[in-house]
Amino acid sequence: MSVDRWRKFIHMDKRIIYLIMCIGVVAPMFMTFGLPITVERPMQDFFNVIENLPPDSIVVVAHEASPSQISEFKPMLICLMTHIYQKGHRIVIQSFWAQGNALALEWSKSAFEANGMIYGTDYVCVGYRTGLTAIMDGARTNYINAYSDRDHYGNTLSTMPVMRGFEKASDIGLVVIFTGGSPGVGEYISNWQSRGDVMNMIACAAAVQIPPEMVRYQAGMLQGICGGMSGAAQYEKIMGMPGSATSGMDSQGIGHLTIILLVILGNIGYFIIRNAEAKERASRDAAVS
Amino acid sequence: MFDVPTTWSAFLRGDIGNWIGAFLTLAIFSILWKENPIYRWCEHIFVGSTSAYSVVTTFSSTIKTGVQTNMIQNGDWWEIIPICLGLLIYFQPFPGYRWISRFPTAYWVGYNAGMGLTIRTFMPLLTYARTSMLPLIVTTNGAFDLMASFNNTVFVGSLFLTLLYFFFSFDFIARQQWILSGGRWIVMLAFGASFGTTVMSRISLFLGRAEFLLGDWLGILPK
Amino acid sequence: MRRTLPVALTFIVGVTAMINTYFVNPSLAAFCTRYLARTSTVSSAWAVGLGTLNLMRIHIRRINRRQDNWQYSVSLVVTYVIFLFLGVFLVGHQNNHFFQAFFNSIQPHLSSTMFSVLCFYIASAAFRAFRMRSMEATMMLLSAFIIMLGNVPIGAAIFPPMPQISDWIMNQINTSSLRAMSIGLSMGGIAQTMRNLVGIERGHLAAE
Repeated sequence: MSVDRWRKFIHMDKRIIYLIMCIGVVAPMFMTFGLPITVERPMQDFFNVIENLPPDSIVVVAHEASPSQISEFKPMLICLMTHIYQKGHRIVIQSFWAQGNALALEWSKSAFEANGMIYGTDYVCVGYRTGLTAIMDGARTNYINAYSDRDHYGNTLSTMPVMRGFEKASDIGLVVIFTGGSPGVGEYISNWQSRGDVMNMIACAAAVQIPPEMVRYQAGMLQGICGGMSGAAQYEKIMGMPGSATSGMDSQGIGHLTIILLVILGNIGYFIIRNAEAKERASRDAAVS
Repeated sequence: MFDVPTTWSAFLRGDIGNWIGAFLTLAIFSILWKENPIYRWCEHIFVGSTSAYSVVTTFSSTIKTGVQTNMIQNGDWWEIIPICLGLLIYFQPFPGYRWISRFPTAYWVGYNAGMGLTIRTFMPLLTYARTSMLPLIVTTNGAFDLMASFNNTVFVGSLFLTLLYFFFSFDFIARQQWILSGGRWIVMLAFGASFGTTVMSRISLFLGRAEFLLGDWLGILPK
Repeated sequence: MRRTLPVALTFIVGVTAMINTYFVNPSLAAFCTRYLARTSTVSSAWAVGLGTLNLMRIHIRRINRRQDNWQYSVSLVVTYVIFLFLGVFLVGHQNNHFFQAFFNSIQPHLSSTMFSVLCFYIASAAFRAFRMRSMEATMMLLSAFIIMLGNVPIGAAIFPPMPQISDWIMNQINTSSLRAMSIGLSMGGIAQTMRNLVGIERGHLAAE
């Protein structure tokens, strides 16, 4: 390819790049490569923490998420709710993101229905509140009072069977934090773990949040991580519930390859043009001298 | 207070909801082709609906619960004080009275600062420091473990180089080229890794929409 | 007085909250949970309204003055009013069946799509700007490639040890570097908090 063609190529209309990317992600949705998914250590640890919880534990699912995280968090939630319920634990959903609670209920609906889980008995959603530090601090001494004894729907929390024996944060057996940004894992560690209330914490992280959560995982603050769509696919594999994350990994693979290919081609073009320009400059200088 | 028939919501949850969703999705994607009024229109609807939702959830979950449950039912009438304190923030838009809005802000900053200067903040910092002190020579079952020693050395070395790279307090450090380039290399490797995971996140975002358009709306995705 | 009193309030509230966590005193703990924390929760809820009030002020002014693109402001204000009206006056507020259906048919689609556009921008930006111009840029590029391939099963299919190399970079380089940054951020945060508490830093107090 001539230098001019490379020049045209690296300055091509951005819409062509968008189209290539779109095809790269969408095309694999219509075919299955069935590449094996390997369960990594952070995910295995995540699974083991739930497996090893004492029976009838309180598991707080902190769904700090927004609608855009649906493809990562929905498959995780479905596996997680099923897993916790099958192990005989009780679920308390909370979120300090305005939409987090409603989204958790919506995205977990299929798991609730498939397992016949009953609201108020097997799970509850305590709803959104402002003033995170104050709520979490209050929950250290009286969780129900911190939430004004009202759930997401305005029902009385204290009379629900799911809340039996759950008075304060130290009664929580495990906190599973879905983290798509801030507030997220950091706030739970600062408010509950640092003060010795809840030591068991695991995270379901959006892929963009994996690096900071890995720091906490390595430092022992988090006992396991289910990270991004790849983590969700691993969870589906362990649970034997292949779903949208497993099928999505093919699109992820081709999408990643598309970006890598674009970057490589962009760099080849860059070097060819740079060398040609250097040669042109050298010959011009030689002609002048 | 009023309610509407459940058929209205069933109507929205059915095909019509998918069609509205598909229209809005395609309208936002139209920005990829070029700037256009439909995109701008949807962008403003997004801001309007999101901010209204925040107000509604805050109103029903915190304010209404506080007034109805705590004050009226439980008789905690002292809660009128935080309500008044919170209302003072509304003096903010009025230049002559703006100083009054400082009181709630001062309270929130004070409370969070007070909580911030406790074990809440120190514990993660100390944990990071403690778990970073790794042995550079590792022995496993009495024998020298080359791989573990190498890994620990790389870990501790990277940590120190990054710390020193961002440490601007002494001229001496700023003059050491090996610290600067070493730190920069490590930081670049870390940023590269972060870029790698960001790509996965971004593709996931689009996958969610593609699944909605091709699956929920058009129904052409293989089951 | 207009500055000293708020600074004094910050100090008193902050020190009380701090003392409560350092000393075990049941009555102080009860006071802090019942009054200090609750005041923070209830009063901060009102601040959400101020944010949207400012938003409305800006857009209503734009409509009144027929400024550029005022038509879009109309759609924002109308959407806001409709959602607010339904959310406040429908039985059950945001949990009302109709509010939920109405909200779910609009906002999540807009929100998700708005962010999903980033998938295309990141591809375009990587193609145009990710160049091996220097040693540092080359290292960043290589690290990104390895992590990207290590994250997906196709990476292992192309080069089987890829996930292990990717894990090594994540665990040894990325984590240590980010941990160093976290240590720096925490220390900076503590210093900033101290400045706020004793009134050296007064940026949070609005100007006259």
